[in-house]
Amino acid sequence: MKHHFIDDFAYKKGFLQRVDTGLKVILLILLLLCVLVIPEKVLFYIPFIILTFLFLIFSKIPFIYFLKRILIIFPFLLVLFSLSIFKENGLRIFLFSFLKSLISISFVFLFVMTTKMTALSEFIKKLPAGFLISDIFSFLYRYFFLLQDEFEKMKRAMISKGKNPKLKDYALLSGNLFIRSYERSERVLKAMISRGWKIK
Amino acid sequence: MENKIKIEIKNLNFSYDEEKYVLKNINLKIYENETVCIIGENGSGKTTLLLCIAGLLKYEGEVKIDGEIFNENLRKKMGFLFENPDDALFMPRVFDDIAFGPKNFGFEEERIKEIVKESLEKVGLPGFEERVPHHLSFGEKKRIALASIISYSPEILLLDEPTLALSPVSKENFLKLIKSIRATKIIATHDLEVAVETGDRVVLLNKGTIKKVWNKSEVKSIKYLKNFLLKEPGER
Repeated sequence: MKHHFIDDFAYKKGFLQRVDTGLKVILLILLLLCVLVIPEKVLFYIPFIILTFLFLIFSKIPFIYFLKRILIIFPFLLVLFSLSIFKENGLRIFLFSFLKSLISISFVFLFVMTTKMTALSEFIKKLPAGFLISDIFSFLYRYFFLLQDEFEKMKRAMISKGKNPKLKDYALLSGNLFIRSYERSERVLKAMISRGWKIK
Repeated sequence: MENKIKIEIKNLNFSYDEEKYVLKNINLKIYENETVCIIGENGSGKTTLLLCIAGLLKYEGEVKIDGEIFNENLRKKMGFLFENPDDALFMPRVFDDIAFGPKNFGFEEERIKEIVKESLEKVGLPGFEERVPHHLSFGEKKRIALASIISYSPEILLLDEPTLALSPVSKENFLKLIKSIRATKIIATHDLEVAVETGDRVVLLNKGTIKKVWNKSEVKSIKYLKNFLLKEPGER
């Protein structure tokens, strides 16, 4: 089954791909803080927009691909900030909040797209109590695609038997997926124990 | 074949619900470096028997490894290859998956790197360290799963349906690979070709009990086994 991996571009040779994961995390935090505190004047936002484009070009990420990813979160942002329109000076608040969020999310996307998940997991491990987060993160990354595959297989099986899945069928499939996930977790635990892992 | 008993199973019973027994009164001795193939219908208890031997299920009776009743210290001696490699490959990178066993069994960090490299070479996938499991084909996953257990050199290999869902070429290569590993092997399989080709003995499990044990000389051909299995239980 064909998957779109969030870290697909991490395997290309580009500027952000070459930056050390730890340094990238620090850089990201600094950039996000800067975006958070910039005054509400359009002029101040221009360098950040230019920076986003420079990162895109030098990290070899196609603009259209990036735009498609960003567009997914557009409706959420619109809903989130649309309430502010009803306040005094609402349109201004809405526009700048929207712009701030968009720039921040663009940076986060750029960071995630150009960082190998395995490298990120290794970095998290170095943080205090990071081993636990790293393990959860690794499992999530490893089994997300597998669950996606299983869901697709069940859906295809349903379609092949003449049923075009509707909302309640998706609920049924999700329930089935939950049971399968539980069973798989039992088998994975057995595989871990058989290779010497002990429950801590 | 040496005659040292490697695994001794005595009066083993297992049930999931304490009513219906999945395994009933299993008694079997397996010798060092012997390959025993377990065949039988779906639900006959082949996988459950392997899980019991590996100490992954609680059972009634006794399983002795090298004369010692199963305990956690014996885990290092056993490698379990699961039917579905996705169950066994749970780490984000191939390297981490192969290093998982050696790390838990206390191998040194520097040695682990060498071990991973050697294990990948043994299964014919050198240079796969940085690959992520969901980028691999099913056959590659099977090989990596095998590498993840041979990495700590277990003396006993428990292989659950090792050739299931492999193409003929992959199956042939995988069988060669399994044969080349020096260890005591127990293989649960539906594939009679695997049983005939690899088994020093073939054990027929039916509804949780051992119905028949053949020596290599007695197992004449796949056809012989197939005809035997096709007979009604009363005629066997």
